[in-house]
Amino acid sequence: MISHTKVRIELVALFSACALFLSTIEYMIPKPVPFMRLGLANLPIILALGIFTYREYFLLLLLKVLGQGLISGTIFSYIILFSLAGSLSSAIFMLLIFTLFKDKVSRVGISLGGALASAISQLFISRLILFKEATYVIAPLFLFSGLISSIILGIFANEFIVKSKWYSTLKESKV
Amino acid sequence: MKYSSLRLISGAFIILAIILSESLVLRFLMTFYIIVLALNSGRKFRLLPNIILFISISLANTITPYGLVLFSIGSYPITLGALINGANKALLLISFIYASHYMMSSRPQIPGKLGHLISMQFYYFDRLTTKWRQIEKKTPIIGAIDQLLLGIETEIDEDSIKQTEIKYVKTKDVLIHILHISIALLLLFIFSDMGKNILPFIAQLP
Amino acid sequence: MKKLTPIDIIIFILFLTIGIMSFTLYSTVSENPEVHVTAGDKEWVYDLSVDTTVSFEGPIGFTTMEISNNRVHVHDSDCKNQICVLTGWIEKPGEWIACLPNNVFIVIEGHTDIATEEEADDISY
Repeated sequence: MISHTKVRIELVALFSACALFLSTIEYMIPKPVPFMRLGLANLPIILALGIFTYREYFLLLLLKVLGQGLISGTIFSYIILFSLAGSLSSAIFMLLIFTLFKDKVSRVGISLGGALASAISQLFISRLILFKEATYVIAPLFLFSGLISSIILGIFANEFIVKSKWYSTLKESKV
Repeated sequence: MKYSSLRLISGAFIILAIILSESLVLRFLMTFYIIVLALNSGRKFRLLPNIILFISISLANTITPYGLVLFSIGSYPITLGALINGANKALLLISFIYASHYMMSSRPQIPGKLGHLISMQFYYFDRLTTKWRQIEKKTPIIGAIDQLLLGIETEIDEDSIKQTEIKYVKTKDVLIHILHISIALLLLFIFSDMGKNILPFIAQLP
Repeated sequence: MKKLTPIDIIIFILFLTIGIMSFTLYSTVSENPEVHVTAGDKEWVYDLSVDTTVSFEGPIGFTTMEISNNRVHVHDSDCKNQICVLTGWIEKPGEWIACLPNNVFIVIEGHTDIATEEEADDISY
């Protein structure tokens, strides 16, 4: 007999592994500007809303950030600060939107909100340590690329929730 | 002592030396050194992304003008001091990335509950990547992802989380790492005020 | 296909507004006053908001300029008459300090209109 909590923890690990998988895919896609990100690894976090408890949700987030740092080897560089600030603020904001509006908001809105929070916090850190005033110049580029990629991710998440058999069994089995 | 902790220690010393270095030339030498170490430990180095990073950070810093005007684009001055500041920041970033690569290259084990969770994460990650290769029909994408995730059972037995072979330290390894640390500290000393008194030409460098 | 909700649209508009607003930040960058220094045929530029001390070499010797708290002055100069040192602190765009014997000229250049800046000060008081 396998205990209930153990299965839940393994589900968290599986979601975080998906995030890792997606970040390696993102890493392979060439980008015209460094620091521009698609946020593919955010997809499991978006989908995790409504499935996990708060504790499990933040555990997933921690694993995502640490895993990304480990696999890209940037865990001891300050890239991890960008990643941590972006992931944490976007996760908190997405959770907030989700708990406030429940079914009144689709994953597009959640994804947009997360990307906005992430972009703002990363711009803030970039102003603090890397670019100083020049951050203002990259801000529009940063925000608009985030806008577009988060809409696409949100639409995909909406589709996935409707069509995926795996996801619907997860939702049903939730106790 | 484990081999992976040895790299963590020497990497930490080199990072410290990089932070303390004020001269651009010294930063450059340190960055070069840590890239060679990372390459030697099996990491890849791609020149172009690093050059793009270097140039973009250096140019971004010209927004805050500082020092001698090299040339102007319209009324926008490109100043030497600002470029040096930017180059310093870019080198700091690049060297941190490769120092981190170097420190992580022998996958140090994280102890405790979190460490266990991370090994679970990597176990599933391995399963996902191997399974994904086996799936032939990748369109429609949602169907393929479903097939991938349904194929992975979330019940794992503890033994399947492979413990990576722990490599223990030999005296030779310790000596090599002490050498790395000494080289970093020696460079730092040469570029310090005391070093500048002994070798006056250092003071002329940016 | 799942329908978009009004909340989605509101968040989208919020994002878009912040994105468009970020373009206006461009202008704030160029509004920072700059300190231009000419000595001989070379020119130097510094940001008025970044504190620093620099020396310039002229035919007589060195003239040392100090930027602190958004103000500039000549800290010391090797010239005889010391007019540049006595000029004291300058802080507004258009103001200048010259050390003629040593051929060093310091001027604050800003894109902000001096008049409007004074008006803004009046309002805030």
